[in-house]
Amino acid sequence: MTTAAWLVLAFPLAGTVIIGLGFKLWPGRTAGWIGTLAILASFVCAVITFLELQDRDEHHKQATSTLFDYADTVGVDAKLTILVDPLSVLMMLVVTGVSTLIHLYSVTYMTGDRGFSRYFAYLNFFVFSMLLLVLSGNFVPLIIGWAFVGAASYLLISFWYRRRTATTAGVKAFVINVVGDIGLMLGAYFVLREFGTLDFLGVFEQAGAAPVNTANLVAGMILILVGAFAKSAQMPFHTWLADAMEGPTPVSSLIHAATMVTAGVYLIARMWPLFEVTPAAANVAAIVGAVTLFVAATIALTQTDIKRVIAYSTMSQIGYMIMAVGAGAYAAGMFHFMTHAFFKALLFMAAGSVIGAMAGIQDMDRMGGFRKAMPFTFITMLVGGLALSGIPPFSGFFSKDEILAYTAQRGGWFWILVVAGYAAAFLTAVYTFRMIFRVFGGEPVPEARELEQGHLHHAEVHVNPTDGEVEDTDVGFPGPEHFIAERAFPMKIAMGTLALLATIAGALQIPEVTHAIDSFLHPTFEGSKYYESLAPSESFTFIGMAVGAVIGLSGIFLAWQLWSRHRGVTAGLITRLKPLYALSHNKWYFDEIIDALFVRPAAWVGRFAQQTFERLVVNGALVGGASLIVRAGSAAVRAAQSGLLRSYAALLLLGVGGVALYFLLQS
Amino acid sequence: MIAATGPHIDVEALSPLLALTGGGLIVLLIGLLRPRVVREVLVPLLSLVALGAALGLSIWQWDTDTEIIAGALRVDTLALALTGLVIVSAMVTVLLSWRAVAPREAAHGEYYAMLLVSAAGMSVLVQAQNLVSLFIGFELLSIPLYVLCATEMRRASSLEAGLKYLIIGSVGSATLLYGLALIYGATGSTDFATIGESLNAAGGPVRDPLFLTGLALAVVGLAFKASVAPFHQWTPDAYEGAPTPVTAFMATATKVAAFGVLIRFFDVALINAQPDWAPALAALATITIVVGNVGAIGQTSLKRLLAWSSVAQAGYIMAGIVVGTQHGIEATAFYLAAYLVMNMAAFAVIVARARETGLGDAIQSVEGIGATKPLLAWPMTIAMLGLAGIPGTAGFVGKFFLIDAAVDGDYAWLGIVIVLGSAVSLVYYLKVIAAMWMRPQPRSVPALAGGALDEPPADAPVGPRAAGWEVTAVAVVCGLATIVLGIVPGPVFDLAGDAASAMSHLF
Amino acid sequence: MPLSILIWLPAAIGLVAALLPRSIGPRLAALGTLGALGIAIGLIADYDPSSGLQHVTDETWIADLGIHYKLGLDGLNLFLVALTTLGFAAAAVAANFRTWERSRLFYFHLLLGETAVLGAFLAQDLALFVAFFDLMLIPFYFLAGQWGEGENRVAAVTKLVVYTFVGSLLMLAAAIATGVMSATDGQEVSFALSDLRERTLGEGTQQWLFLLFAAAFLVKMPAFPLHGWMPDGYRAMPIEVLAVFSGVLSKVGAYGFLRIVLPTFPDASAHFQELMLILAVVSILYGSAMAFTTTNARLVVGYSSVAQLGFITLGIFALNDQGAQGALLQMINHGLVVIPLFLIIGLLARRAGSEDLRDMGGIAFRAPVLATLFLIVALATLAMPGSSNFVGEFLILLGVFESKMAIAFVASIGIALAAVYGLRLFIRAMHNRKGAAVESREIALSDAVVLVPLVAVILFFAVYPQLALSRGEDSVVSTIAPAVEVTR
Repeated sequence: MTTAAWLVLAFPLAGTVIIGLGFKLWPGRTAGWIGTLAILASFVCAVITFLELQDRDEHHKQATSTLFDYADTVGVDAKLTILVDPLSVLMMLVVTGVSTLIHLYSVTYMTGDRGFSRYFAYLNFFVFSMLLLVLSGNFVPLIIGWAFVGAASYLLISFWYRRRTATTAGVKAFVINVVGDIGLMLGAYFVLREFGTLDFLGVFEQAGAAPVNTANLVAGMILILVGAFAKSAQMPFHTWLADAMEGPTPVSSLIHAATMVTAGVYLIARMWPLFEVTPAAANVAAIVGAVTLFVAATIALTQTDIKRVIAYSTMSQIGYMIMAVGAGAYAAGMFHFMTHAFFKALLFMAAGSVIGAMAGIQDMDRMGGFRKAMPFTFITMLVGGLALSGIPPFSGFFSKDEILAYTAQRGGWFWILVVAGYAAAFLTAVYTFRMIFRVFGGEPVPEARELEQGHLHHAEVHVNPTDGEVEDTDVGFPGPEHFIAERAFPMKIAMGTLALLATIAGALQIPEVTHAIDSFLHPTFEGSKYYESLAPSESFTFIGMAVGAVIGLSGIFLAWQLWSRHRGVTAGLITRLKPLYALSHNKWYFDEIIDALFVRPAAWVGRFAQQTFERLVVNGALVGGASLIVRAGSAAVRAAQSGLLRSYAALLLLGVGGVALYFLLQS
Repeated sequence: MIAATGPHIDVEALSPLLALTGGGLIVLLIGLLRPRVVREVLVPLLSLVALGAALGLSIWQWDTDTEIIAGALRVDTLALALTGLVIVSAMVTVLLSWRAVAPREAAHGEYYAMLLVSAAGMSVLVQAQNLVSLFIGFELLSIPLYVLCATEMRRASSLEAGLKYLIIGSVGSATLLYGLALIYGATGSTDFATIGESLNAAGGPVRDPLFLTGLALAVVGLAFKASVAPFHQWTPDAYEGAPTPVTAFMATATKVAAFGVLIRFFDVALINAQPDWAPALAALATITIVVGNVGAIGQTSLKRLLAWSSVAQAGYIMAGIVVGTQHGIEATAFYLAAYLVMNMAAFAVIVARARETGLGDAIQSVEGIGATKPLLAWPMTIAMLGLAGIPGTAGFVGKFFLIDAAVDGDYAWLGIVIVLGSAVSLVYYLKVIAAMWMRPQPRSVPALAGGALDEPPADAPVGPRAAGWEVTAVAVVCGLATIVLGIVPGPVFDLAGDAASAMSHLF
Repeated sequence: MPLSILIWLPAAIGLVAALLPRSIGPRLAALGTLGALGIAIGLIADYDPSSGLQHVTDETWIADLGIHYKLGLDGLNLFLVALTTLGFAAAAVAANFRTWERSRLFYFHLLLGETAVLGAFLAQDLALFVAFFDLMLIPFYFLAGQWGEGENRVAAVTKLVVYTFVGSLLMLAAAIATGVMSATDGQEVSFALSDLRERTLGEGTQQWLFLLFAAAFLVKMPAFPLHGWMPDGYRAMPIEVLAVFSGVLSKVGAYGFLRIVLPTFPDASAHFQELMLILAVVSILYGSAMAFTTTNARLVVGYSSVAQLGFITLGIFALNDQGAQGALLQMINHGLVVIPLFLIIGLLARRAGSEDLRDMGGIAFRAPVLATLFLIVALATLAMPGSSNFVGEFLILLGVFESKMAIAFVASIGIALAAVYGLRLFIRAMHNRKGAAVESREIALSDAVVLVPLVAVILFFAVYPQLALSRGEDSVVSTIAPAVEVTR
């Protein structure tokens, strides 16, 4: 069983190496196919692992395997260990599955880009890192995978590295992720101090016996949460995600929607034994999740860049998951992670198709009326939108409602979180369909008409959509061609599959009917305080679902009113709700705040050191001072060395006097 | 004392001294002969022979330990070792002087004779264990040197140097003499041993102002010769003015003699007053180290630079005497030897370059020789590194030894002063190295800017010419010696050890 | 005996090479360094972690002073020796692809330098260590002064030498004092580290001796605020020479703390722990701050080294096993990344016509291989998890976390800052729009010959740091045991 798991890791890595080393040899799309096949193979292995796992009986659905000691010294047991259990297998399946489809999509989407091989090398490397993250059974490999996905994300965000906007976005993402890594590392220190091992199972065994809410452990888990928040773009570490949209759209779809950003959810679920003995920390997670899901939803309402709208919705959806796992609704969280992976990846792909039709333009103000021109894209986008808005019977409906229902079961102040959740659900429906109506509804824009005539618009001058700088189409800039799903078979397959999954995946976990996820994950959460106890009553569940459905539909209705039926009324709203609009449009000013609190001070310190301290103290006082003294001395001595006998005689007498005086004092 | 019977004279023990004085006389006489070859070849050769003989005799005498001439002199390993150093220095000087201008201007005979006599005076000085013989030796070494300084009669700065040296030197001698007289008055004896006992005796004159004043004056007098600050001021002028070979001799041999007598004077006669004079000497050492090192910075004349450096070095060596232990004396003896070879290497190169460029001793004279004259560049480099105390050279071991002695004698802080001084000294030693390796060779024309013009070229009458193989040889040999001493100091250490063992009353 | 061969081989080869014709000399010199590297690898291969000091040579050098020519190899210096040989081999080979005037002299000095560094790492006698430590600098004085870059290089390198010698010479005095003072009644004065470790000094004595040693080592590293010589000095050196100077020589200081200070002055080490830790943290923050504001590529790396050495100091003065292990590993790691980093900067400068980041940019455009190598090195430099540097920092911070938690938290800021300056260096050079004078060229085979093996070594340690850790552990633990005892 672990062998297959190791192979899951091996294939993407091999893919990276092969594509990387031979980057000059691969003709045309070969690199793309190699990459896709590598991930497909890894998906197959994942399935094998899954089947092998299913063969085992309930209490032995867990296996570890150690490749070698990584850094096993002076009381630190960092081993390269993988842990295969239902949770990691679920992650594995989703990650490899979705990745395969997105690779497939990319094969066309990135055609013509001069960095084709590099792109797939990076993408395979990302999948490898993500799998390392979800498979590792020891803190150190976890941290390594954690950082590797960060690096891969950086590389792909600034994939078009001659765009300053892309490189700066990359740095931002990388640095915030490093902050997360540091949190994770320091958290690991606390765990190590508490339990004397870095091995997951070793820790979890002892965790059950550990006293509740010990200061050490709470501190540790909160630090671990910092890692989770940074990676999953939770407040206040979320600012990088929107900028990350600088990367190619498939990247946004894979890394910044389906997989990497959900790592935080996985981490909290994985660490459940620790979080259940540190409720304080767990609550922090739940609250931050709730805050994020609401704030992100409000921001998404007013963004005009299509990718950023989806990005903020991702943030918000991950907020739901974090809230869920924080509140102890682990299965619900993981379920939503899965469905979200499907419909959010789908939404990005559809967006990518639209952007292709717009020849790279992402601003929704310039879009409209694409429904006729791009029927397939429209359908898929619609499916994704319905799932996202939680409309039955689409997958998102079940997963989201399960989260809210379970969280409500915690009672007390958790109700506040639930209310926030429902409010955000409403906003979600609004902004989702705002996007759909604005892109596909209304009067067709020139590009759309051109497309209806059967001609895909291509820009003569290529410009950076963010700052409008003129670009060529060589390495480090997007390629000359654009692609839309309607005309690219691979893209169609990818989107079609995901659309299907987004529609039906909910069937896995229909309340009172099926609980595939619940029972599958059960072994991992053996002995959890909440896992079973949170199951809501039948009536409660159905009320919840009804409310959810109504909210979703009314949201869509509002969106229809504002952006389809009475186009343009929004302008009036904006002027009337100026402050609110500004707050939302400027993303609650988080960038500005962080800039003022950290970036500027750091830069100031740097400048001070550079321009003042170095000159005055390090070179001035220490070097200059010393040499000044020496020079002064030498000047004095040479002044005394006048060459005139009388001055010598004078000094001589002085010397004699001095010496004589000294000796006479002895008497 | 009316006894007509003169003291018994132990000729064997006296032989090295006799060889030197005898040699001096012979050279003087031979020098009167007309033929050029006699004067320019035979005279130096004879002086070498005399020196060689003296050296041989001292080695032959090695194990003796006797008082001669009614205890006026003491011939022991220390004395012989230091005499040996003086003789070596003199031999090197002869080699450097061979084709120099000075002997030609002041007839060869006189020049070499005075060199030998001065050496004899030094050996008397290091053997002296009586106030009187001390002073005789002192004058015997000084007077010829005054003259030697002035032997380049056509060069004003040479004459000036001689005169200055004469005047200041006599002041020094006077001070010394005064001091000795007072000490005699206080202790009632001129014999070191007796003085020592009387200081030891209960109610001795240790706290007697008369004695202490004498002590002070004596210290000053000797400090002059050792060019210890603040009595160092004649040094740069004299060193710079004097003909380079004479400078070399003064820088090395005089130091040896001066410290030889300091050892005997303080560690035999006055050892019981050590608590009194040690701090004073330590203080003088510190001043010397500081003054010497800061003084050397920014000098453009190599000889002047080396003069200041020799002041600083004197400060280091003082540490060996301050502590008043055998260990200290051993260190002093070793360092004197190391110091000798390092300086000789440097001076040989200066002589060579002065002859080759006609730039005198200006630092420009060595610029860029790293590329063109490795046989001169390397010895100079090694000498500079050695003087700075870089590992792998005699200087490092010597300094290590001195600091070791200082710490051992509870003068750890003096050790720190030494290392700080060495750190500063790097500034000017590296300057010379940089000039040799990191600057292009200047268009070598006598009319040259900078330091050179202030001091007319040392060998002006002759202008650029060949260095002479013997000079190069001296440079190379001394350079090698510096390295060898730095890597296998063992043998010389043993000699130094023997020398120190003569001071058996110390530990 | 093998150690003596290892030490003196480079100097001997250098001397021979200096006498051979100009066409053969340099090649031979490079071969010599490779030979030394071979010996070092052999030593790693047959190293036996369990049995303490190995290949011990112990001859009396200067009997009167109790100085011995004592060499020995253990887990503490094993990989540092290897690093030294690797670094000099890389430098010598890289230099072989350039033409130097008076080339034979150049290699003579370079190899003399290697001998001195190896001696310092292998010496087991304090006096011998000091001798090599002081000697180390001189060849680099010549290398920078004669073949260096810039008009006022001589002034710069003189400043460097004098500045560091102030420290070194203070250490000389302190070393002698240690030997003499530790020899209590009747004992022979000895400088053998094993003896000094046995003979305990008084608390007060330990303290002032500690400060003198610290002065020498901190200047050498360099640590804040004693890095005044670094900027000018670094600018003055030929890049190949700078690679070893920064990659290898700076480690001798840190090594000195581990090998000499902690075992010999345990009480003082404990007494000054806070001071040193704070100094280290300031070095980290200050070095990083400078690193992300400087525009000269060399100095970015130079200041980043200040920060990195700060981490190493931090680990050493955590005064526990984790810290020391991490520090030792980090010494190797830092050397491994800095050497290729400087060589790469040399390549960048040749492509951009300047070492100023403002003149660079877009170099990756036509040079994917160079970009990839640079990327790997850069990520290792910023201690990206998965690199051996991360393991080093992980252990270091764990050590500090165990002894002084607050400091660990402050220091961890340094990791984030490292990410900033690390990426800044990479992006400003390789990414963004092309600089005005930039000509993006793929690396030549001759460059790859040097760089690829170095990067391979980095990757190897990234995958299997255990190799170094397991060999080092016993020696590290036993060496710092006295200091650890005191803190308990």
